[in-house]
Amino acid sequence: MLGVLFGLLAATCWGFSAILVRLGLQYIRPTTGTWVSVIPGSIFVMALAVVFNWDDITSLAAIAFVWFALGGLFNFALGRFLNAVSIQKAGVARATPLFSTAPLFATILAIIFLGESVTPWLLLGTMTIVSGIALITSEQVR
Amino acid sequence: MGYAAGIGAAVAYGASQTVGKHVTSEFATPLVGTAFSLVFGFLYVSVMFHRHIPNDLRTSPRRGFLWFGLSGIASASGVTLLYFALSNAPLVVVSPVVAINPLITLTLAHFFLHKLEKITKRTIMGTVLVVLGVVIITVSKGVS
Repeated sequence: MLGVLFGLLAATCWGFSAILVRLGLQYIRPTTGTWVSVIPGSIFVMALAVVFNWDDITSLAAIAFVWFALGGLFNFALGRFLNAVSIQKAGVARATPLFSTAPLFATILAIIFLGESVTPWLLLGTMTIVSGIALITSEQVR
Repeated sequence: MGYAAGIGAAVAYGASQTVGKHVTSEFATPLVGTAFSLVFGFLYVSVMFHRHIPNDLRTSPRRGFLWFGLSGIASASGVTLLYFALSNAPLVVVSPVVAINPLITLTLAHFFLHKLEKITKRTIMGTVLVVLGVVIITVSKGVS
């Protein structure tokens, strides 16, 4: 029950995050906005990591930083910037379902690079997502 | 352009999830992985947009920085809460709950952005289908 509650709160936080981006885009560009949004997140999460996982930080292998750099590029440089551009151009209501399809692409990449298998459920989920995207994108953006 | 950017963001987030999966299975806890990825993300963004940032810092209204700063805090809080959720319940339970995020966003947009955005029935139906598809994929992965 607690896990479900925390999950709901996480989803609500991300919902508010998208709304706040939309409000911020009235005043500044997505480029600078992305930069601003990464600063408090970096400080907040790093502080939590230092407090709760200090031993893990001190024992990190050097190669781990290459992967952290890759994760930072995809998630916070490309993902968050394109997220802001999408919200600016299409609006938060139409953009949010589009970038929430990330698990589909994660699964496709896992099949290509990690050798995971294609299941009937994946095909069904993909078809459902594509139908939803088709419905959203068939609407003209004002 | 907006739709292409949205799909591009999904591909980038999908790639980051694949990288994150490798990081958490081989090198670090999710919290440590996210913390360092955020720091690297900050460095990338600082370099990529260095031409816009100083000018916007001087000329743009402070309100824009406030909204984006709060957005960053909300997003980071979401990540932290996700870890708490996963430490209290299995992925197969947490994933579908988190996947309803677009529906929550639509509800919030209805209340907070009613002057800026119009939410149509088509958008709601499309969002429900996307959420359903994401739930099918994440639950089937969690069960298998």
